[in-house]
Amino acid sequence: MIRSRTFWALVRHEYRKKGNWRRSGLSALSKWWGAVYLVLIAAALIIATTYFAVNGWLMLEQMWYVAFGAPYMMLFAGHGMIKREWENDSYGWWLALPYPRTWLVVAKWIAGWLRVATVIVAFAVLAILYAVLVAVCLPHYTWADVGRFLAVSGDWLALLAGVSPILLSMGQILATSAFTAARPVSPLLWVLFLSGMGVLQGQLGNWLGEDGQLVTAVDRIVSGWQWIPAIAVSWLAAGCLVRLSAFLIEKNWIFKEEATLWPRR
Amino acid sequence: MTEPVITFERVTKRYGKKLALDGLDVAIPAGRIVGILGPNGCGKSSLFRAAAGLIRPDEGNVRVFGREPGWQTNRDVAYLPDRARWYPNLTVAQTFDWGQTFLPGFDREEAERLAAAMEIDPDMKIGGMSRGQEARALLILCIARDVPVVMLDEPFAGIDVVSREAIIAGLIEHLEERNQTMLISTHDIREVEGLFDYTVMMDRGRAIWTGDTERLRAEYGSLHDVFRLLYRKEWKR
Repeated sequence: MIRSRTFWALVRHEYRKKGNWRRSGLSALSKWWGAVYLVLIAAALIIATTYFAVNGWLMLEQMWYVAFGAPYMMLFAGHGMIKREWENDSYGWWLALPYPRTWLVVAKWIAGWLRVATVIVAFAVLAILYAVLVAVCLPHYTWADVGRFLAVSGDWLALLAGVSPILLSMGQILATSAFTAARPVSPLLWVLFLSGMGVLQGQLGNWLGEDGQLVTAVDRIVSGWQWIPAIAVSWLAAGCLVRLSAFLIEKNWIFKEEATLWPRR
Repeated sequence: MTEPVITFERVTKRYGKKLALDGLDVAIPAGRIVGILGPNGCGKSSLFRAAAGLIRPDEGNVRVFGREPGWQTNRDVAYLPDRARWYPNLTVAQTFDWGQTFLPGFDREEAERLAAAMEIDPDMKIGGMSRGQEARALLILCIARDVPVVMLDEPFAGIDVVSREAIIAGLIEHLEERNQTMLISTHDIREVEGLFDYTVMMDRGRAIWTGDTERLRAEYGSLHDVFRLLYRKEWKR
């Protein structure tokens, strides 16, 4: 654990939304329409879920199927935290900071993790409130359903917390490889990581119970212990990827005007 | 001659097939205002990046205060990167907060004084500024540091005349008060040649003339004439 106050200030700086020149070029109208689409999508999801709930077709646990998108969110969070320095032309400042390269990468990693955790925990809280509301308002849902939903939520949160380190560091290595001398291997890493995640997600279908409950995380950790070694290995691999990212940004960065001289992605 | 603070010994750096530095040999003396001059693509930015520890030379040695440059030496080096931008949602005051937190030797009072002198509103967001105003704010982030070496890579590039004048005035005022080694690169010397007391003329990754600016002027006339003469000679070779 890094105890330096400067390091944690770096984490706070990375967590903060500091804007993006590319997006700041969007007109107010474009931003307004973006917000409208987000609201429409959220409204459609809530209306559809409520329709299924009113008719008694909704299994509350199925709300967690949105977590299938979480691994991609983690991967792109790790990638985006580094990519934004490139997009903002701020990488010169970042790289010239007088602190170890590991600090720079780990600070972004922690900030990315906190951002993803904020979104997932916010979803969990809203979903639990929705489950309570459904149990209060609709006769065919009981407090037992809510209890089961809480247990499944715990399973999903444990699973997502377990896989988040490796996914964030995979996202970081995708970015550092693209913006450093490792640029030629970047397309290969994208193919490997995305196809690997696709295969793992396909397997996740096998880990769901007949009633749609996730029977893996807590159940198997408690009963079978299969998950612990796998998660432990993935955390070790995450640490190695973070070190590799730090190594790559140490004097291996490609500057924008030289980027065209390297093999293209 | 005083002890050099930065030395390059036969430094070569390639980007793919392009040779950015080609056996560069140069020593930057302490306490001088050094102009790193040359046309676009002559290796000025690569020199700065190597001195800031951002790139690794393929051959040769770079030393800053006698040590290999890297994040450790950057505690004592303020560096304004070429074409650098800043985060659009941050205000100037928040940018100075960042400097105070992360840049050793950052003098907040000096930064605020320079901002007032260069007509930069501390409450203004970077995203709402012109490129010239943003360049001034970023320049302040560098020169408000009380460190032995300040390196400004093309601080005047793409900036309107008013901002150029404000930056030059700010620099002159600042330099009168500090005993720093300052390296300033530019490919356009018309308004800034009076700043430099030591000059490194670069072309195609090499230093083609290095020495006291006065000696250069005595030999060739104004820096502008030197520029035209030296590079025409190079082009003829």
